[in-house]
Amino acid sequence: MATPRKIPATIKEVITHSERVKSLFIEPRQKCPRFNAGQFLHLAIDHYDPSFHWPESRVFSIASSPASEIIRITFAVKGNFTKKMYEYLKPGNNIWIKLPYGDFRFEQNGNKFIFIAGGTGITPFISFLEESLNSSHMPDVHLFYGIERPEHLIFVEVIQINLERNPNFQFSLYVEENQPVGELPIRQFGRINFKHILRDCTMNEEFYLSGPEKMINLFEKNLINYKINQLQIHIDRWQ
Amino acid sequence: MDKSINIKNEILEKVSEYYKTKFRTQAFIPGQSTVRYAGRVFDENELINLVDSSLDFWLTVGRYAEEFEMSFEEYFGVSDAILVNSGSSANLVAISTLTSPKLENRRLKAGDEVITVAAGFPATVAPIVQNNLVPVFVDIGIGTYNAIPEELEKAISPRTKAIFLAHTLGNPFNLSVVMQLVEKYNLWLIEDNCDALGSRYNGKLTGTFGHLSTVSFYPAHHMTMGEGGCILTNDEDLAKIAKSFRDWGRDCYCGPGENNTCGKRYSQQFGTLPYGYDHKYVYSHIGYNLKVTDMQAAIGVAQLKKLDGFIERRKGNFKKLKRILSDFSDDLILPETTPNSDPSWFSFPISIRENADFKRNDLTSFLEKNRIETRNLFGGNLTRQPAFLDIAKRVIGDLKNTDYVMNNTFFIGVFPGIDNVQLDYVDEIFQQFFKT
Repeated sequence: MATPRKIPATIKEVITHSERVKSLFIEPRQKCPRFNAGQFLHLAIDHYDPSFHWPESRVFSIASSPASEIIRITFAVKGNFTKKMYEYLKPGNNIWIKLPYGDFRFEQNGNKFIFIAGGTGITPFISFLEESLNSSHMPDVHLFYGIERPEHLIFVEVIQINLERNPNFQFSLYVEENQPVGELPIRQFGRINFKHILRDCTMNEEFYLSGPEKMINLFEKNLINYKINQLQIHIDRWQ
Repeated sequence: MDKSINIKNEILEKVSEYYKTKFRTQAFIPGQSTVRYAGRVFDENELINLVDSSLDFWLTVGRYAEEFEMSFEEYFGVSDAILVNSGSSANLVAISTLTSPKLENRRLKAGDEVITVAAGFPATVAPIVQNNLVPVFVDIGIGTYNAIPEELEKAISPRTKAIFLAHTLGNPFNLSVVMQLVEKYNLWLIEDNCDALGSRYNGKLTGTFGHLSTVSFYPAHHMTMGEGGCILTNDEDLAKIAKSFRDWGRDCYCGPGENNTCGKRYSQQFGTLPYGYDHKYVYSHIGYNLKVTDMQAAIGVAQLKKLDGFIERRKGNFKKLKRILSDFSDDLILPETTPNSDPSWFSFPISIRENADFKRNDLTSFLEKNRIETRNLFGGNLTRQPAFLDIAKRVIGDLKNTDYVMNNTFFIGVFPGIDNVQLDYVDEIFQQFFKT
């Protein structure tokens, strides 16, 4: 990956998705290194002085295209740091980011991609889908996306545009709470159904998993039980 | 404003003033001043950056290293530029990278062969030996000073796994032939680009053809950090391995003073270590510590902005010297540019013809006596050097040309610190030699 760099940045816009989930649109104030879709950044709220250690930060998948000048991240409140981010970060605030990091890469080797995303785990896939909108290449992708409640549905526009423009893009939405979503068709109420994956795939695809740890572990185990080669399974795993 | 920022700005203004008094250009006095073969060329910006970095007192890699690596990646159009503490270290890391178990069947193992040349600097060959690999030496062409293209395929055996060649003194080796062999025999290619920063082959920068390439920032080279080097690659997997070898062999990619960059510090299992062993102390390679300081990188950031100008000056000086010395081509073999290339010359190599009535040392002694610095072509024939006598190796042919270069070749400078006044003086001294 390109050399990670510490960059001062400014919050341009904040979108509130729910009482726990927000998106930040971040404008770097210095030239940013190139990143690949699927990679992540560190975000620090406190000032960084090069004479001293990097301040406390947390990692977030980048949810915007590598070609975009504005970097988007989407986060859910999980602890004190993200709570502080949720409560205090507003347009005009200065922050520090360092990027890019991560091996969650989408290798274009001709195989179809199966994206399995839970909640805010969809963010690395959004970077890929946004990037593909700017290229002539129409990737062969099936996105299986699971959310708890309808209000947790994010990135509707990106998904809709991909459905319109990319004939190779398939989308399956699962909502645990039995309520309609409106903007996108729901494949099934409940959690992501592994049987649907079995039915829709040939098992020669590249499987990408991103979301809550329990979800990742379950699907990884299921894929291995169905004799999917470990090399075909790519996981965006966090502790 | 923070008082420390004001003080720092005052200090940096003083540095600029200091530069103007301490390093003002000295007039060249023929017969008294020395025409160096190489040297650092800089203005106040290198000093300002150096002092600026020292005032951070971060010391290890920091903001200047990040800036340099990003800029160098852009310059070459590659995914990764990995700073190390010398070009020699860059070569060591590059070849070591190819021994990584992560490369599985393609990894270089003890006894595997690497094609190279003996007419060059030891830092290209030594890392091959240090990794228990076997160098296979091919002869060079006189005039190009690079591997004879027709000899390369002869050198290939079932154990050949890589080619590791330098673009000698800035003159690119025949990349068309080499790339064909790389593809035909599925070989790794490392370009030692330490003496060829800015050279082009078929319009493309050397250092961008191989799986890995290396650059040196020692003061004799096209740009300097004092001590410093860099590995370039467009392969992110190789980059990750190279960084591991550079950084103690560790699996972690945290920068100095950082923690949990990967977000999985305590939730992985490696080797037979217990689950959750601190990732900062997991080692996937037998590595080294070959990092730079941020102060070195700070100098590099300023130098990089001047690099294109440096390259043009070197090419210009080379052209002028070629014109000057073509008068003596009955006795001197002048350098020959590799076809389809545009060298960014490190220096001007000269070989004495067989039929000349003087020896190399006659000419170099005369030049040195008249304060024109000369250098032999590095190790001459490395297989004759004491350090390399007993190494495991294979030699293709008799290396006749390599021996010829060892006995008859030297180079003089073309670096940007040489101006027309100095070149006129060089012309005059060569004229004097050939008159007597």
